[in-house]
Amino acid sequence: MKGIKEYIQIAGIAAIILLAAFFLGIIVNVLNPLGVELNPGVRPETPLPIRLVRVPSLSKEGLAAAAARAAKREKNENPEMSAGELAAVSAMEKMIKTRGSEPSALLPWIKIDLSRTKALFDSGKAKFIDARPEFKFIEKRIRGAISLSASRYLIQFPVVKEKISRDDILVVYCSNPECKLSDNVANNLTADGYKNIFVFEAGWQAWVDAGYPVDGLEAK
Amino acid sequence: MEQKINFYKNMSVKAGRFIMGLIFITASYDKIITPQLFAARVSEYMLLPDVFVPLIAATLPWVEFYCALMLILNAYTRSAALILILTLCSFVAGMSYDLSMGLVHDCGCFGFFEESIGFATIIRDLLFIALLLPVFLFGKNELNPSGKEG
Repeated sequence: MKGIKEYIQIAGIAAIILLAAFFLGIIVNVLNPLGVELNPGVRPETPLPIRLVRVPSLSKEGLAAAAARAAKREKNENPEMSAGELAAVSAMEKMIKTRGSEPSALLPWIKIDLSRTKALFDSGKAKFIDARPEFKFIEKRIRGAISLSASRYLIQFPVVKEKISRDDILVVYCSNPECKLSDNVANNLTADGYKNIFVFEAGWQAWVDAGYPVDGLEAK
Repeated sequence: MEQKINFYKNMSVKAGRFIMGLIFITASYDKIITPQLFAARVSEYMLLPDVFVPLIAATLPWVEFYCALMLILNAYTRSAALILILTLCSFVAGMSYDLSMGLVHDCGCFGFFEESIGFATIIRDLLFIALLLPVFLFGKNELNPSGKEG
């Protein structure tokens, strides 16, 4: 009996500590300029299922479709294609030629290097998608980038899709070449109907090392 | 013999209090300064409905800080240890669930120290629980400014 009373007392004091920490946390958060917005507005009430890699690399049928598109373009049978589409298809053809015909080597989007990424950035025609976790995006990001993290794709996408159209040139990036989150987001965007997707393979680290423009909470 | 056991009990309580106190004060510091970043890290776990994430981000670091301070000051250590053990259990459960879903993201355990969730972080949290258990089982639950163990 004494033991139970003792544990009830421990739990009671624990509850008081929790309440004190709770109120102190709320007050300090309100006063803190870096505090978090406590009323995030209308959002999904339950976490949505995780969608990891949804679209595999192009199948043989996909390869045939890409070849047919290329043939059409050569004959100028598809003049209504946008500049972005043409660029994407052109790069896709180049990749098909350079990387051989093995279907597993082909992806529904194109990997680009630092110089081409910078060229797209300077042109102002591309929209940059940050596939890293949101907190990294908040800290620092490529200037003007939009956050669409791989692990919270389904939650962020309804907001992000208002900012990008299916004809936009999208450049998806992650931390470094080893990070596959950008591939994941590119696959999901492809599945959602976006066509002109590039993956900046060297990623954030290469961009920072090159001293290119960044912004965010910790950007100087 | 009993004296020896008491000595080891006191030592384990003292070690648990100071080690875990310092660790949790260090862990809470960055989260208290930048709740925005911590909220984004909590979101990555995808375990809580989004409406609760800001509330957790604003208050959990203070819970950690309070409890850590109480451990070091030897005040209501059993209650503080209980809260920290339950918090660590929820971290272990969250990380295990995310790993089982193939979801690897930043741990968010120490704000300044970027590390992804994995078996190492789970084992580390289990070790922290092991250090806190003697405090919870054999510590004192009163205001004890003299610093003497129970």
